[in-house]
Amino acid sequence: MKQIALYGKGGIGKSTTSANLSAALSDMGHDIMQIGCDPKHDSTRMLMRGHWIPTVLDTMRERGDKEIVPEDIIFEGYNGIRCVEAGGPEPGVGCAGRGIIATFQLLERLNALKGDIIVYDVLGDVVCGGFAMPMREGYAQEVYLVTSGDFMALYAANNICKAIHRLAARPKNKCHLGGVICNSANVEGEEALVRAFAEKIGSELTAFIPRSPIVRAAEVNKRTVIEYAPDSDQASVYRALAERISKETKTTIPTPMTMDELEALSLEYLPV
Amino acid sequence: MGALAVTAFVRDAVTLIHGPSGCAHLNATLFQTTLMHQDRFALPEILSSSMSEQDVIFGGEDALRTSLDEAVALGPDAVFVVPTCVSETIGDDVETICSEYSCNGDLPVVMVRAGGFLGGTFHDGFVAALEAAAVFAGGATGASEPARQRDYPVITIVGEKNLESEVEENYDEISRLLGLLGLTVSLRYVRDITVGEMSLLSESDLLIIRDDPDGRIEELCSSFSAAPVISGFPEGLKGSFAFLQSVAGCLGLDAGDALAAETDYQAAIIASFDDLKGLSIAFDSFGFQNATDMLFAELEEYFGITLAASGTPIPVPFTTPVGSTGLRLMLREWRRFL
Repeated sequence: MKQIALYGKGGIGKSTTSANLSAALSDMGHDIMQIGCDPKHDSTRMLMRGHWIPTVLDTMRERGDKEIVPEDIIFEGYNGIRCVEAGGPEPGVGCAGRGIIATFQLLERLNALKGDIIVYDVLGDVVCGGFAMPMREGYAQEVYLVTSGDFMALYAANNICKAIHRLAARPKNKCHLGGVICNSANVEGEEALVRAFAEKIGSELTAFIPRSPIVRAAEVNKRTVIEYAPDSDQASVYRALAERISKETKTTIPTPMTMDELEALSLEYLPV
Repeated sequence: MGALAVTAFVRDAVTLIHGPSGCAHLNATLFQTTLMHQDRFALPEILSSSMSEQDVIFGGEDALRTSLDEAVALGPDAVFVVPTCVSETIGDDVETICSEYSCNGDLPVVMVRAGGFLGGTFHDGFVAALEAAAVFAGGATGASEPARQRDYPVITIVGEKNLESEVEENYDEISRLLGLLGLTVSLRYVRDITVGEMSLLSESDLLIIRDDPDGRIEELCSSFSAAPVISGFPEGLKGSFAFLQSVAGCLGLDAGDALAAETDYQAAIIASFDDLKGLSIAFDSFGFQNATDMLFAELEEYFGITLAASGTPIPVPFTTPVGSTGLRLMLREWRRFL
């Protein structure tokens, strides 16, 4: 079983990328499970044709975790993809990071973590130990950083590199960096910038996903691009990403950049 | 634990620990074992909000409200809420909830700021609880009441170390010394008192602090009383004389008779330890954390006991003996080793 996780700055397009990646992997014949690890619980919505599925934590809160069965929290979406949303507390209260830990513990207990590939879609910055848990406990074995050419997106991606680098010192570490995915923000020269960033941290650019109006159109129609416009160029990009990730065997322990290096790199690729 | 060492000694109040039940259990167990040394077998009223994992994830405020309802149902005159590391880490708004309960009913609900993970020590929690309880200095409602006319000075002891083994012996010694001046203790803030009794705080004519290593308790006292402050219990023989003179000075009394009586009392103590004269002792590194050179000088000057590396190793008390009587009790123990 391959377990991959998409990490990156909030709003960068992790959920869109994850859902389209899962859909494309599924179309290739893989048995896929996608787990949204973000309190805003919208990771699987497009796979569920716009349906907001009950989150694991809401279900736990309402019924207690003893009575829960897999059918309560795992829902079948596009092409049989099993969709799970961890969810989280209301904004401003509690500890969402602990919620992630509780979700994984429950899924383990239910023996629900199975399939050919599990795709974890994890909240942007690794804000606390709870959100690093999928990496730390061996769930997120191949991490893909989703970023654009925006400086803060690279900054967040670099922070995640720091977490992977730190975890690598642990004897039982299973977390490695699979690559960097550039989800374009239509910034001039960003593919070259993100490629250079990937190389600087000791990895490589896995895919460049151009900005396309098809993505928005698909979302408005509550579908992934793979389902809404399977013949589009954008769908081909997602399929190419899926093809590459499904065969990816080369992973690395990244070397995070210093703040000065990151600033210098961004300056170097700043359009004149 | 430091906070509980104050709040749990308000007889008609309940202390609610907002956190996992283990936090309350640990403290209750420590209380039980410590208080047994004082021959007290009744445990203080300590409740727990018993935060579960779900409370940690979704916030523990509902658990706190449920537990506060239970605490209020017990009919106390006040509730002290002590947050724990967990509830402080996830950011439960304990202060607002306490205010809500205080505003909605007659029962004061007081938060004690004592998050141990913030680097606080036992003493920090202890002072925080004294500060929190000072809200009752003006009466249980917090509103100042006019001071009553009294024909005796109101003497308040502040910050007794409720968990130290000699807490009652130390109190007895202070009472004895005050008695030599014809005075009595009016309020023990906080040891086995009621919420209502704390209103006497602001009427104090003299405040005697048990121990104030960093001056914070004296600063606190100045927030509710303009009365003079003696910032520590007396240590040893000379300390007892100085204490009598200080108390008399603060209250405008003549200490002559009291000093004469204390001289006789100390002379009897000195005579009773004649057999120890010429002996030497050695301390290990533990104990006497706040001992002064004066105390060791007294041992040599009055009792002929000297410090020497080759002396008899003896167990030493954790804190310096209080007053002449404390010294006598200590020497009685030493005699068994010497």
